[in-house]
Amino acid sequence: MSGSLYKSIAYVLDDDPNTLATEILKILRKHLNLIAASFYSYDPERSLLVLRGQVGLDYQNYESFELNVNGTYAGDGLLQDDPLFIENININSQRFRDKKLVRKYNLQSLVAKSLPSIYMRNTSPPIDKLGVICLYPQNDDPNIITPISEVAPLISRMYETSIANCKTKLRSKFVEKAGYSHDISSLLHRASKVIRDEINADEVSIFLWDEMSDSLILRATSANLDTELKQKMRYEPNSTDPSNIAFRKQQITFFHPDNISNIDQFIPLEIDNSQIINCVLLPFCEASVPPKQITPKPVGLLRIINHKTTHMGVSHPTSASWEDVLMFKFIAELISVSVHFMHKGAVAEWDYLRRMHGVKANLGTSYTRLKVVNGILSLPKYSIPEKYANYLNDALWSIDDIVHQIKRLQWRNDHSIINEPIKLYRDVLSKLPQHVGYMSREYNVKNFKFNTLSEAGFPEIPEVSGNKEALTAVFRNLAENSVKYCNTSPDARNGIYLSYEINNDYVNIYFKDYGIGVSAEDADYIFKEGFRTDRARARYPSSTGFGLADCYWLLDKMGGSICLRTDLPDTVFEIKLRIANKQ
Amino acid sequence: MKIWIVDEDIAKANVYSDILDIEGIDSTVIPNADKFMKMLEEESPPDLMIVDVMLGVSDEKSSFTRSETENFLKTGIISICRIEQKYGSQTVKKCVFWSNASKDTLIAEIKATSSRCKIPFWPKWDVLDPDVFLSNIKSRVKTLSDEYNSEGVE
Repeated sequence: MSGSLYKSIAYVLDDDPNTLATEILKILRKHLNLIAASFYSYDPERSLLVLRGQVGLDYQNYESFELNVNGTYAGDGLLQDDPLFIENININSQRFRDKKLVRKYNLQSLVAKSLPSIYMRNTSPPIDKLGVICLYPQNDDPNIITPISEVAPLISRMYETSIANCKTKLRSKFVEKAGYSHDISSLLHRASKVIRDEINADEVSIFLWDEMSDSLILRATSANLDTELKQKMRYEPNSTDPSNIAFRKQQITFFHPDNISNIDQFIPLEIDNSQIINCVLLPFCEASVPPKQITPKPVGLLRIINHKTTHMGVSHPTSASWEDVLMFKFIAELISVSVHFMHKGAVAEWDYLRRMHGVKANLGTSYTRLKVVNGILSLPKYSIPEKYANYLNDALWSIDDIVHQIKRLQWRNDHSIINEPIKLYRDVLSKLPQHVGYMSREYNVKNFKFNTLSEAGFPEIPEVSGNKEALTAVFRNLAENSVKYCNTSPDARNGIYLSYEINNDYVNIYFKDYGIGVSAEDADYIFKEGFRTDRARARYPSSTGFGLADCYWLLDKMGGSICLRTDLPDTVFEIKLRIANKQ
Repeated sequence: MKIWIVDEDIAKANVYSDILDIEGIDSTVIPNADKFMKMLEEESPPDLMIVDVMLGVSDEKSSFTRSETENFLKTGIISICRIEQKYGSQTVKKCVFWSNASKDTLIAEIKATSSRCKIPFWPKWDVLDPDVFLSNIKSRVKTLSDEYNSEGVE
C-alpha cells in the first residue's frame, strides 16, 4: 500500500502550496480509507497551527483557521517525531477543538503526524517542523501509522518545493506588473497592489527611509487614500508608531489579536484601526551579495495588514506561519533589489543630465566669447584694449575644455581607454602651465604660481603606461580645482607645486596646492560621483562634482591610482602611474 | 549707466562684463551673494543688477544657510527676497534673474518670484548673443527709467 501511496503523492503536479495540501489530503483519504484529513502549517512565533488544507469535514462556519499548539491533539502531534495515535476521540474529545464535528462525522480516532523540515533546517532561524497532518481513520485501527510515517518526508519536500515555486511565480508577476515602471514611485505603487493580491492581504504599504531627514516616508500603498494624506505620512526619528520602531530596531514585528490593542496609533489607513486583525512589519535592507561583510544599510519597511488564509472559498485573517514569513521576506528582498536598481538608474540619469548641464554652460560661454572676438576683430587694431589680447586664445581653450568634457563622458560610457607608453613630461605636463594661465584668467585669480617642472626633474621622469588624452584630462582637472578653490585672502599663497618619486614599478606624482583644502572626514568621499565638500558647494553651487570621480576612474583604467594625502600639510594628491614596460 | 553682474561663474560673468565694457557701459562682477548684500549696504544700487539663481556664497561666515537656499541652488531667489524686505520694491525692480536652470520645479519658482517682484527672468541660453544681451539690458533700463519718471519720484 505504501508503494502506491508514495507514487500517487509524488505524481501530484500541483505546485501551488494553497491547493497542493488539499490534493495530497485527497490522495491520503482515498488510499488510507479515511473519514477526513487536515493539514496544518506551524507558526513558531505564536505557537499556532494554521489550516492549509482539509478534506472530508464540511464546516458551516469556520470559527478560525488557527489552532493552538498547546492543548490540542494536533499540537501534541506536532511536538513529537513519531505519529500520535488517539483512540476513542468521541470520548476523549477534551483536546479536540471542534467537538461538534466529532459527533457529526462520527470520528473514531486520530493520527497526528508532524512533518519534518527537509530544506528549512538551513534557514535563519532554522525551522524543524513544517506542520502536522491529522488523519481520521474509519475505525480505531492504527494501521495507517506506518504508511503516513513513510510518506511524511515526501509530503514535506513537496510542500517546501511548492513554496519555492510560489516565490518564482510571485517574482514573475512582480516583473510583469511592476517591472516596466519608469520611476520608483510607480514601481512601488504597482508592487503594493501585486503583493496585496498575491498574498491576499487587506492592505500593503511600502515605506522608504530618507537618509537626509532620517525619516521613514510612505512611498506606496494599496489603500485608496487621499493624495494629500499620503504625502503627509512620514515617521520622524522619534515617532512611537510601531512601524517606525520596527524599522529603527530592524526587527520583524507581528501584531495579532493578543497584542494589537497595545498599539497607540497606527498611521491612518483606509481600514479603520479597529478592523486590523493582524499586521506584519518587515524592515528591509540593501540587498547584499556574499561575501560582503559590512552591515547592509536599512532601506525601508513593508507593512502588511490582515493577510488571510482562504479555505473552501472562505477567507480569514490568520497568523503568519513559517511559509508566510518566508514569502514576506522574499517580497521585501524583491522590493529592495528593485529600489536599488531603480535608484542606480535614476542616479545615472541625473549624472548624465548634470554633465550635459556643464557642457551646455561652457558651450554658451564659448559661443559668446567668440561673438565678442568677432566684434573685437572688427575694431581698428590700434583701439583694441590690451585686456582683450588673450580673448581668442581663451575662447579656443574653453572650446578645448568642452571637448575634454565630452570625451570624459564618452570614456565613461564606452570604457575605451587604450594604454601605451607615454612621455609624461613632453606629452602632458609641459602643457599644464599654459592651462593654468587660462584657468587663472577664467577664475580671475591673480599671482597664481606654478613651479618650474624642469627644475623638479620632470624631463627625466620615466615613461609611464597610460593614455595621453586621459592623463591630460586628469592633470587639467586637478589644476582647475587648484585655481578654482584657491585661497582668496589678500596675502594668500596660491599655486601648484609638482614633484615625483620612483617607487618600485610606479612613479608617484605629488600634486600640491594651497587652496581651501579638504577635511580628513571628506577625504574618502571626494572621489565619489557628484560629491562636493561644503566649502566647494558654497563657492560654486552649479559645478557638477564629477571631476575627481573621473580622475579616479581614468587612473584606475590606466592601472594607476589617486588619493588625497591627509597626513601632509596643504592639499596633496598622490597620483600613481605604472612605469611603462614593467607590467 | 552702471550694471552689476552677480554670478560666481566668473568666466561667464567677465565675458558679459567685457561686452558691456566694449559698449562703454560701466559694470562690476560680484562673485557671491554675501558680497552682493554688502555692496548694497555700502553703495547705492546701480541701474541694473543681473543676479544668478544658483549663486555661491562667501567662504567665510555667510548669512545664507544651506537649508534656506536648498544647498545653495536658490541663493539668488533668497537674495532677491531679502532685498525686497530690506530695500523695497524700487530696488528689487532693478534686479534681473539669470540662470541656466533646467529643473522644472526650480524654473517654476524663479518665474513665480519674478512675477511677484515684477522683474524679468533671462535664461542664460537666451542671451548668449552679445547683441541680444545688450538689447535686453538697454530695454530694461529704459523701462525702469520710464516707470520712474511716470511715477514722478525724485
